[in-house]
Amino acid sequence: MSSLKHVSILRTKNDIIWLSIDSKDNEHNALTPSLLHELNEVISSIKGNGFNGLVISSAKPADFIIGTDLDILLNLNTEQKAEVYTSLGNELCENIKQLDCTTVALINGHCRNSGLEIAFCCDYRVSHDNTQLQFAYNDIQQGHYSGFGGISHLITAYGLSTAIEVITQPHYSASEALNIGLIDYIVPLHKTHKVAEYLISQVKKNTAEKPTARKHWKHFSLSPRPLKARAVLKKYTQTTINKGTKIAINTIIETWKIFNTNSDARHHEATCATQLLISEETQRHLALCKRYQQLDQDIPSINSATLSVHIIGCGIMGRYLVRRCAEQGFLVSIYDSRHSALEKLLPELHRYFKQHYSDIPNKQHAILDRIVIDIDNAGLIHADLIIEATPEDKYAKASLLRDIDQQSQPNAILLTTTACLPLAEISKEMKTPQRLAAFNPYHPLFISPIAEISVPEGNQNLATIRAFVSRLKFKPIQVKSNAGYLGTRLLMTYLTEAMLIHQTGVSLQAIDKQTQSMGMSHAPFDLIDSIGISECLEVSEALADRLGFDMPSILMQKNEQGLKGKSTGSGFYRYKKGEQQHPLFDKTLNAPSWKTKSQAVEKRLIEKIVNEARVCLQEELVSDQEIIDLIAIIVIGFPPEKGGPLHYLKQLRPIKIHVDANNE
Amino acid sequence: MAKFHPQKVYLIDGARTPFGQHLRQSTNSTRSYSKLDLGLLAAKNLLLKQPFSAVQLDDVVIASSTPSDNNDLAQHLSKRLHCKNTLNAHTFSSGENCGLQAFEYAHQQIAFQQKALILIGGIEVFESKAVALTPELSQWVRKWQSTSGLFKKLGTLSTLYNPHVIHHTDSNQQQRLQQREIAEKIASHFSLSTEAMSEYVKLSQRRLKYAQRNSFIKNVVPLFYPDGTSLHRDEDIIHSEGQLKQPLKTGIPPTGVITKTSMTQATDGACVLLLANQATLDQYQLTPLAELSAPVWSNNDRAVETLLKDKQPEASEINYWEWDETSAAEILALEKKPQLDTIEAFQTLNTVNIDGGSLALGRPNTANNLRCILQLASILQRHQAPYGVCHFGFSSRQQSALLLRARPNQQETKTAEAEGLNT
Repeated sequence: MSSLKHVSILRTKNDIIWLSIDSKDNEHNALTPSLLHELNEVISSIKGNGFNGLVISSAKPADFIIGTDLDILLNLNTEQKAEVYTSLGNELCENIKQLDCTTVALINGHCRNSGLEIAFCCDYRVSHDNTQLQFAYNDIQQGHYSGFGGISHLITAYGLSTAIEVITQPHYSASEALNIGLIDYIVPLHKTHKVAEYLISQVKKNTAEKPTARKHWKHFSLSPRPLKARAVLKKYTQTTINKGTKIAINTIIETWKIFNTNSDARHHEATCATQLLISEETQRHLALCKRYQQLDQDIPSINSATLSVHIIGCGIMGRYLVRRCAEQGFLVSIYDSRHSALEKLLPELHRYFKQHYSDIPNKQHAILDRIVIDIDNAGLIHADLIIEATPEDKYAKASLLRDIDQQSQPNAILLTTTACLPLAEISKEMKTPQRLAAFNPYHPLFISPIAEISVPEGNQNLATIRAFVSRLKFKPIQVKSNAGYLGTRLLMTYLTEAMLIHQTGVSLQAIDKQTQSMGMSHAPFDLIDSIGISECLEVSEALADRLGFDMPSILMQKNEQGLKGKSTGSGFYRYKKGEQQHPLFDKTLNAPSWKTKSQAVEKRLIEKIVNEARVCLQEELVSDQEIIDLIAIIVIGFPPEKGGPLHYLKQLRPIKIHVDANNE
Repeated sequence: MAKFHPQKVYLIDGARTPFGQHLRQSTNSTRSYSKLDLGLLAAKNLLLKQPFSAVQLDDVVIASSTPSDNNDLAQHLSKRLHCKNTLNAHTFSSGENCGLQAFEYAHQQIAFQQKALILIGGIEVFESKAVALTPELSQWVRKWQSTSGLFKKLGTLSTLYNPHVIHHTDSNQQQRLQQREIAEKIASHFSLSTEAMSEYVKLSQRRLKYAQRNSFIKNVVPLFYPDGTSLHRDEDIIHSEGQLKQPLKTGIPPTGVITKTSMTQATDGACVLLLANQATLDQYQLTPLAELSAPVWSNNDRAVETLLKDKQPEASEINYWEWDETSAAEILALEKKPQLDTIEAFQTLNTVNIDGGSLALGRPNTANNLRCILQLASILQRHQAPYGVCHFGFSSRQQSALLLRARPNQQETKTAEAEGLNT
């Protein structure tokens, strides 16, 4: 215990040990083997020494413990390594649980994955009242879990179905966590220490009156375990979570089925976690995560007060960007020649506030104060950064950009949110075409964390644009300017193929269902209806003209019939109060041949995407193939356990060669 | 020691919300806009058009004569506009003439205190309270709370009587009553008929409509509401012919000469102006709308004379007048007043309130004062005229006037200076 690197301990006069974690390996308090070793060492030395309590906190300002370091996870690729690591964490959690003094986790920052498990081993969890603070169990989305025994604890406390619901949720705020009982108290930052001391003083020394010792009744159930397990399993196989998560949940349920809340459950959990971690899918997923994290490294931060943004066009994209800019502290003005479009902005913002900032009026004010609805286009003249977000019309965009070029300040940055038109085409009427750069954060429907940028040669502003985009919480990806750029091109390939399949007589529902069982996160026709038929048609026409894409006639027919998608109540599907209406009897789905046919549909869709991805790679649209894989997964929802289209292709190749050799 | 010269004060630009009685919300489903919201909307749009940002402002002065929950409007406004941290904003919030007081303060800050750039605003919102708690009622409530037991409570209940709940006229209503009485007095003194007055109201409304149709009225910031509607122009406050003849209650006994429309009606609205000195104009290469003189005050109906006696232009040289009218009688009496005999403009009213006045527009007190200045400046610019006079009258019979010198004059001086340099 002589040389503690990552952990500092302090003993106060009322015999309370304050353990503060400050990892030297990374800035987020991610767990590493050396940190786990130290923690274990400290806990075992406290044991049996008659202390009153132990308080675990973090010395980092923004994070408590955010789970295991990604590099470490990637390194745990053999069974032995993974087992050693998992059992180390498992031991730690068990040690904390078995301590003879009261334990308090003082959560002063983000608490994720194994951090949540460690916190859950403590008797009390006290969080401070930061609204930014997040609780999450993201590992399960990547198809694995840490195996520290925390999930067994969760099941003991909540019962199986609630526990799984807790870990599959994307994230919780502190108040939500309090509501479901994940934490016990929320207190202001300056009172957290006092509260911890108070809680410890309340529990008498060496008694069995620990709060965790209270009998939990929720895991008792009248129905037999196998039946209940099957019910829970069914619930999660039907929802649209990815395959890796399904496998992980399956193992959790299996563990529960065998051991219930037995103390041996944690050992089995560790074994399962090891198996999941070293599986190829998980490792592939983790590698992509790593690549994703690297995307916005070494981008300098930008001061939002120095940049005023002017957005032209108050469509879906314009409104989305206004909100993102204002949230990040930019002063933003929005212009549209149609007043009816501008009128939609405030209702949309207020709906958003209701969902996200319902109890924080100051935040609402802060966002609204930065937005100016500008009916005279007066903001254009003095703005530092101008974003053009009008509909995809080549001539309209070209003439608008010419006007912007003339009226704006000569050193202002010009961005266009075009998703399908190449830069050269729309900038040809400008005096200084190299000023224009493309910035495509995708349709707001995707809530994409990635945005494509395309900057022509001779543009001086690349660094600023990258900083701006990353300030808006998008990870910038640089793409060569061409029709459809990258994301839209892959997406339209997928959607077009789905429509062509539909034209051969396969029903909408059958295709949507098949894509879901493939693991795609977006069902094609649902997506087309949500984006809007006429918008899809515009993009589709643009790509057909330039890249020779097929142009499904059904899209034109729907548009002519005035079926514009979800907003008007009918597109490919019908909508009643925003809800999709399905026919009771579906011809294709109920046909006996569907089982064999569905495989053909799947093959057609996958092949089309893989081919297009390969073409994109050959045209050198982006710097490396992993980015194409990433975009395919994030934007079009390509099943992540396949590792992206190009990785999938690579896996297929050796088998083909093998077959050929056999034939010879 | 060099003689101290006051700096000249220029009006750079201004913006206002539409004026109207239903301005604060379009439907009841959403939260209504407060004074602060209206002021912010106008100020944000105004600053957007400028080459500088809110950080460059030296002072924020806000006037508001109606009572409100938020007493420190200017401070909150400057904070939410993200002005610089050291700025100490000023709120003028009592008295009918506080709009002009605020203006005079801002004027002095630039003229004598070396300030460069000031945002001045007037915001009025009428919040009608359903039941106002009078001192008697609050006393009764305290008594009610202190008693216990059913019979005692019933006993207390029986002591509650009508005057407890009914609130007496507040200061605003008193002001309005005073204005009506003044109008009535003027009307009877100069023997003005109801018909003549309603003719003038019609004229005022027609002028406003004409200006709106030809988009002469600029600087109006549309209001967008959270329920997806918007208001782009001033609300029509005179709807029907019948309104023109509907007599209004004045003092006892009412004569019926004054009708509802021949008095200005109180509405909601906000107006903000940007004032600057010469150095700021040079720094950002701005063209001001007009140069503003300090307001001149008078307690005996002689504001215009005092103003023109001090300053260079003769009364006949004034091109346009903006008269902050409180009643039609006040305007019609102008031509009959002996001390204004010499001023030709008042004989025909052709150059007074040519874009319609507060009779047609409604009169949110302080906001209207600033609107007059802004409107006169834009009229001068539209007609390339050099001089204009703004006149304000208050129910306390205090009056104020100020002179606007538009751009053409300045160009002349500049060319003269250039010629001087050449020679």
